[in-house]
Amino acid sequence: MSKAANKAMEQERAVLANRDKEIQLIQNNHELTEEAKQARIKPWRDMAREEVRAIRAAEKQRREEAVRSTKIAAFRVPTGDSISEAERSAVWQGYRSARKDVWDVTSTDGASLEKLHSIGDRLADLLDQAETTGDGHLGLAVYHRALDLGE
Amino acid sequence: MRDRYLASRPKTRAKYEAYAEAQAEAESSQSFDAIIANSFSEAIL
Repeated sequence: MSKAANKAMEQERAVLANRDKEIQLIQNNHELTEEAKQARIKPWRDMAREEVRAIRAAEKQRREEAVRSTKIAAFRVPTGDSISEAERSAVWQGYRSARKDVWDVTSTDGASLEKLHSIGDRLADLLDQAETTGDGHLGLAVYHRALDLGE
Repeated sequence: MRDRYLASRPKTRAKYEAYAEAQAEAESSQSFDAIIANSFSEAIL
């Protein structure tokens, strides 16, 4: 579990512990009727419930954002020392071309069982080709396709 | 294939591992255990 997840859990425990402490104080007050005790306890319960739900919602949002941002980092096409927009566009164009080649060869749409089983070999052949020729775009496209397919 | 590509690319591996960890954490929060745990803690609220 991540530090952030642990922190959220600790926050939740602290809210509940504080609520329980306050409820205990009210319960121990013998000057109050049972009805008066319940009237004082209810706001503490309501407040704790809202706080815990807010903590959980924030934690859920943090996890979703972590997936989004790390996915972008993992799939980012490096543009190296490219300075101008035109140079970066050329890099992306090269990547898109390689990506299309890889996706065409490893398409699973309507593929037979035999073809599905051979996709790993196809990716291996493409990675061989990328490494032999030094084609970084092809290598990156194979890697991204492998992530998609869990290969 | 993924591991073969990442073997000689430590920076790319670090990015992949961060992504995989974030995915696993997000998925674990939706798992059956989490649903059960939340049901219990909802009850104590």
